[in-house]
Amino acid sequence: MKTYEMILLALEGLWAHRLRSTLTVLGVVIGVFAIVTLISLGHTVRKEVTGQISELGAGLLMVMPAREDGAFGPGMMRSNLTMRDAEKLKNLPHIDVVSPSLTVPARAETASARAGITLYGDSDTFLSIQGYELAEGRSFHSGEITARSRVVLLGSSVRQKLFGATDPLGRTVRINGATFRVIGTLEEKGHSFGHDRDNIIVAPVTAVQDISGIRNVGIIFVRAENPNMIDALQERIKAVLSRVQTEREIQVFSQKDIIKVSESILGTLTSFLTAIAGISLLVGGIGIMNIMLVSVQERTREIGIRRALGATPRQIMMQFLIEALLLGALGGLIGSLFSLLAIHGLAYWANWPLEGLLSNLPASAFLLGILGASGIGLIFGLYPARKASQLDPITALRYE
Amino acid sequence: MVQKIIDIIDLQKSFKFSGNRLSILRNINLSVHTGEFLAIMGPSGSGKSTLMNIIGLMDRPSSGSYQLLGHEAGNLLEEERCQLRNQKMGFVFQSFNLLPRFSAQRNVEIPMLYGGLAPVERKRRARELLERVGLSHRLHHRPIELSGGERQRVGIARALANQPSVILADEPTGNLDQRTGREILHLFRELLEEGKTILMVTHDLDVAKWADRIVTIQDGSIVAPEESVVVIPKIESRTSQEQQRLHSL
Ligand SMILES: Nc1ncnc2c1ncn2[C@@H]1O[C@H](COP(=O)(O)OP(=O)(O)OP(=O)(O)O)[C@@H](O)[C@H]1O
Ligand SMILES: [Mg+2]
Repeated sequence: MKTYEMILLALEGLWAHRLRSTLTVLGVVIGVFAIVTLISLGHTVRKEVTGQISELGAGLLMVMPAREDGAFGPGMMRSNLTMRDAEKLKNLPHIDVVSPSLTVPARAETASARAGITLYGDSDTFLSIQGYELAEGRSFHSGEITARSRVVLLGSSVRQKLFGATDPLGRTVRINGATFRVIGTLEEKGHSFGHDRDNIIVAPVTAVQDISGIRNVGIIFVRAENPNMIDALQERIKAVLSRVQTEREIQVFSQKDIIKVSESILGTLTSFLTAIAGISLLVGGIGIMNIMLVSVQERTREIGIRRALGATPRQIMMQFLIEALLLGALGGLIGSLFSLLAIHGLAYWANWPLEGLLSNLPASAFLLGILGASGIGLIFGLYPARKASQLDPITALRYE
Repeated sequence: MVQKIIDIIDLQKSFKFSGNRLSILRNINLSVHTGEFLAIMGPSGSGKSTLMNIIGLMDRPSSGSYQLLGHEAGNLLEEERCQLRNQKMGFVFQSFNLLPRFSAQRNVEIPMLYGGLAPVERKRRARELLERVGLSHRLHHRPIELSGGERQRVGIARALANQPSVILADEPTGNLDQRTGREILHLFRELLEEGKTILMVTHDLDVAKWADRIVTIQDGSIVAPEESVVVIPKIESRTSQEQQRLHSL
């Protein structure tokens, strides 16, 4: 018997018990759906996060206060970095840019509109370090930082919300009650995981200190002249800042460090979720075995008839094995398709740019879903298929 | 000279049953010639079906020799036995044993499927065979949509699928009324004309009389010596009066 005839025979068997086949496939679909979706999303999120961090550039270092628990992350609430620290770092050799920054949530309003925004206090190098581009007007200069000038750049969403179609340049905005003058606007940056990156206002860090009452700064961005000097510079910065005030702890992260940490967090999370999804796929496999055992039992007489008509034990075995394999493969295929559909839906709902998302989807997750489910079908089908092939034909024929 | 298609010498069959050895068939000696129609009779439990299963290569004897078409059955591998069963034997069952979810045509195709016939050829031949047994109008009916007689015709068409040499029929008329049973037996006589060899188990002497020769089994042994069994004249050699009488039974 040819292979394709074997497959047709198995399909015929599945079709003859379509309701049961459908339910068994459903069990696999759920497992595969969970696995493929989680792997895809995990992968996509990792790529997106890594991409955003990479945008910062390889030559960038972030200086921030150490957290008491020793973990990575901004500890802005109790920041102990000052503008003076930033000045000190400017004197180090091979340094291109030093940019002290302070980020606070704020309310912005005009006479006719208001919006909750993120207020970035930064220096004149904000644009180049954070990767924003100027749309209209100008950026602020170092003189305005020293002068603690109340001037702002509007992110494109804020500009839209507060001014609509009218030209904002030269107009004023009230931020947490203080009046600022708009000197420029930013090009659109887009969304990231549902987070609007254009809902920001950028002002001189000194002005933000003034209106928020915070005396320190949150993070000091330092850019090296050459990315190769990052490691050496990291040590120098620690040394310089520790000498200023010995009892305090600071941490200096390079882009590489952050990617490493975020990769490890997301990686662990993805593996954990995938393991759980894997268990549900395993349950699907046990479902296949269960149904195949019932099927062999119920079709005992059919097996006897087929044997009497000349089927070899091998052919009986193959028929049931291929049935199990097809159940798994079908579940894998449908589960993967559902997963693709769900990711589309999620992307639409969370307002992610679909093209970027889809080109980032790992084809391997889908392949893994389909092949894995087929493999599960094969493995869990082995025992029932063997059982079917070893039935004594006479006893099988007599089975009621 | 007629060839021996089946030659059984000193065959025994016993089953282990709750620790004891149950002797089911004892000292069976039986030869069947090509083109012969043999009826096997005997009381219930005498071992007729057991013998048929051994002849059909579904079961193995405990001892003795069984030669089928010159092959010593005991020396054959399982695969070879399956192939021989598929190609040379056609089973007809009392309870028809059709696959309930498949059409008549699909049922007839199954032996050809295992015989490796191409799908187109298979379908063509299945239609031909169903036509041959008078069911050309029932090709796509499932067994449940057929009468008992029609089901048995499908069973016979299926038994003929791979042009076997031997038809093994275990009480083929057992579930049919007399008239339908006679139609089946007519069909058997026609097959005989075409050179098939037929072994048929039956409880009914009137049915057995359609055969050329009757063998009786009692308690696992053939009772009347093979040579002395009354040979019933072939149906076409009977006078029309005799036939009339036979058919009115
Ligand atoms: N697998 C088995 N194990 C034990 N005993 C068996 C087995 N198969 C058959 N027998 C016994 O062998 C004897 C013969 O059985 P068989 O089916 O050959 O009888 P039979 O002549 O066909 O009867 P019937 O006319 O009722 O069909 C019976 O007594 C039966 O109980
Ligand atoms: Mg019997």
